[in-house]
Amino acid sequence: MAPTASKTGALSWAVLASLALAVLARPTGCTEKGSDGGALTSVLVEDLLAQVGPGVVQPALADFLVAMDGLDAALAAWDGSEGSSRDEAQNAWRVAMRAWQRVEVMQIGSLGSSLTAAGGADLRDEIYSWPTINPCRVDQETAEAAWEESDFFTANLVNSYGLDAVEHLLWAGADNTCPSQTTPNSDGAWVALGEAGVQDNRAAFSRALSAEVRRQAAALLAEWEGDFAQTLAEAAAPYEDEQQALNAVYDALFYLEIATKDRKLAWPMGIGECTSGACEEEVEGLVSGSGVSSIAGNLEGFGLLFRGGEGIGWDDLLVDLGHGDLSEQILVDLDAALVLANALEAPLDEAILDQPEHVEELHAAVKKVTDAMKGDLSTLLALEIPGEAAGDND
Amino acid sequence: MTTFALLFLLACTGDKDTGSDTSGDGGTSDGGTSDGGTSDGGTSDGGGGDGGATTADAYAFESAFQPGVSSVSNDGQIMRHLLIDDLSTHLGGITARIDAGTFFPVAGDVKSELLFYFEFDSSTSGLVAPLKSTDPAPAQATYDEVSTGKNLKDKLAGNDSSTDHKDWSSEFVGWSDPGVSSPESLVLAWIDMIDAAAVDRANGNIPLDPTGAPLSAIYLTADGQDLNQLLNKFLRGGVAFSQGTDDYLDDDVDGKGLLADHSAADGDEAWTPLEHQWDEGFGYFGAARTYGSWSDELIADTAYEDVNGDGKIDLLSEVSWGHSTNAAKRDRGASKTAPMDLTAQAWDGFYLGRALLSSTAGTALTTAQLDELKGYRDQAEQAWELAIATTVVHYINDTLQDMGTIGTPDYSFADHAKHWSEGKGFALGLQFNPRSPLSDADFALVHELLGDAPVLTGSSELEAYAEDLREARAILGAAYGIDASNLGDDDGTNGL
Repeated sequence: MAPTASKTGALSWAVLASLALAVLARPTGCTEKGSDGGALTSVLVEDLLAQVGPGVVQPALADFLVAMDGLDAALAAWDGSEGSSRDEAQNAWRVAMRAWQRVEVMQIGSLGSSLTAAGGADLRDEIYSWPTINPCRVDQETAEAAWEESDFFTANLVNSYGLDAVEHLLWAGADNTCPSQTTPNSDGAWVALGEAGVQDNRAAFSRALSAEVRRQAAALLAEWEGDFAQTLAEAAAPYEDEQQALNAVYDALFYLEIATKDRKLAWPMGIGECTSGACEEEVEGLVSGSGVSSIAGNLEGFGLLFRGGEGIGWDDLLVDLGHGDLSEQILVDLDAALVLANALEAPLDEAILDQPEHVEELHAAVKKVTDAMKGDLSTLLALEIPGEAAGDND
Repeated sequence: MTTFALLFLLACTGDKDTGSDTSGDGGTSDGGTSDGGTSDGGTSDGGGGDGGATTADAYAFESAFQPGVSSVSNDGQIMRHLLIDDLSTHLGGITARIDAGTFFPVAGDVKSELLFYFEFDSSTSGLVAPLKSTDPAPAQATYDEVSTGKNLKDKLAGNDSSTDHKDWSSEFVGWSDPGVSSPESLVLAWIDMIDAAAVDRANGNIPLDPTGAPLSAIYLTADGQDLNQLLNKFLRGGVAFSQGTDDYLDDDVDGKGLLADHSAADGDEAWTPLEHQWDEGFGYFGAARTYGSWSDELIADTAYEDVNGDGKIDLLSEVSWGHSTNAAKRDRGASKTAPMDLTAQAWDGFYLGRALLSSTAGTALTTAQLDELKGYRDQAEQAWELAIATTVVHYINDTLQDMGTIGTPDYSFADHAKHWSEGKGFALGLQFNPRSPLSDADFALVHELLGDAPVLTGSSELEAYAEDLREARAILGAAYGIDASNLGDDDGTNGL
């Protein structure tokens, strides 16, 4: 955490507007005073951007790789059957998923969507593609046993592999999830495999998937350590300028709005777009019961990125602008949401049905954080809100 | 189908870029119509380079951007018709599998089989052979050969909501079960009922109908519902009619439906976005590409023809699907004193609108051209909705006749359930057209009168329900201008 500057009173729209203009108008590398007297320096923005790689994303990816080592080891000891070795592998998966959920909030550069993020290459989906999942496809590939083929990960869609596929393999029962009309049922492949064959294939498939996830994550870390962290720090291509680079980091934070609040909470709670009768089954990590843990991981990841790890972060930028009150409020609200998430012990789908007030409280707490992101913070720094988050899906 | 097509063929020659002066007054219901002519879409004998229609008897339009290439594409819509029909076919065969002892379902098994169609997934099932049967056999051997990436769920009213004229999560009307809050929840509720009935049947628990006989199929309920018919007819409305009228042929959202761009090709495609929107609306109506020249008998009875003589039935172009077949059935059943030609009315509207678009592709429509297009849309859409509404009348009449045989050897519980459910399923679809002649209040009243199941027993209850059915029929008759000679008598005879 960087040292804080003096605090000011409540924001006024006039002040916000003038600050926004000041940010827009300032040339890179200059130092200007904000209209309320707080230091508004591009150096601070540069520091923030320089901190994102080595101070936030790289440590998070390194943590994930450590967790993946644990998952790889646990899967190596799993023979596909139920029992203690599967329990250990499931626990290792939960640890890896919690670590990955922090990275989910850091989809900057190649991790991000090729459609919306500067330099985005959809690498996130290569590691974890929820809600684009397809247990039947995983079962078909389990029966087909083609994961050793060199083009397996390029010939198949992301819903056939990744951590979400490993989740299915680790929690699946004896049957497959495909309807009778299609393979591996219609061709008898599943029956032909038999219980032992299914277990063998699931274990082997999970190891192949885990190894690929690890390879992708290691490559990602190498990319950040290689030059992408510096690219972001310097706001070099694919970023046009410092403002766009800053907005890319801001966009990543909006995962908390678009994915955590709207898709992971509001949707299965029946708020918004879900029109089926069993919306609670739309939670993330339905079979593993990891939905709440993933939300907590998102909140942790948001905190890391917002605070800039141990260095300059958005909180410092706000303080420097003279709006430590806003910074403080976001951090207090974030911690409150994390406390609520950590206190929720039941799987999210069950909690939605049995403890709706608790889930609603969590949703409201997350919303307080994201409302501040969409409101004051956006205005203060002249940041563009991602299109998907422009409205409020609640 | 009448002689309109020939009239049009004679009238619609001209150059592609001379503009259109078609009046688009909506035509008439007897198919004599269309003063219009028009479209200066140009005619040719197939594949000429003027970009116009090849013949008024065929929905065939050459690309304005890629000479020699068709600009018509609606495989996604045909795929959904196919999925709706295949769902029904598959469901129809489950009881026999259970009764033969070859299928012993546990909870969720049958639901999974039905969701296969509702949530169809090309990535897992694209290579599966469709169930649709024709003679000669279909040209397409797999679902992927029809279309990829399409399912029913995503296009059910409320699930593709950007153009919806109502919020179907809160304004869906017609089914009183408090657990049903949206079209999707209704579909899933029915599927859950079927799933439970299948498990019960496999375990020897078969409910009895009011005559004391075991229900003959898992999709029948002792309350007199035929869930197969309800699903099939409701999906035609909730997917095809909803998408057609409230999305592709609508004009209330910029860039969508009739407000889609027409000034240039859609990327590398052979059509403009507006041409494609229109084709998709036409696809949801379900008419074969040569529907305009088909007899009512052909459309109503077999609904397909090997038009090009290649020994195969092209599911994409040589089959009439869904509501387009109901139009022919109602045309055929109309009274001689008040004949209907819904097939011609719909064809005229769709064809003339498309000819206008073909003749103008590459330039934005003028206000007058858009108004003209809306006129064709209204003509087609009104025929489409009337085909549905008159079919509801038809099944109300069938139900009244079934009720008249209760207690006699002629009574068939399965037929009674089927007829009521077809009528109810079709009627639920009438709420999806934003320009429906049926008011919201009348729609709600019709469904209050129909109920969630037919009345099956009790003389006074039956008579009261028959009166309700007649009142529902009268409301539809008034709203849609259905001639009294087609509405039928009190006992359901002498009508559609």
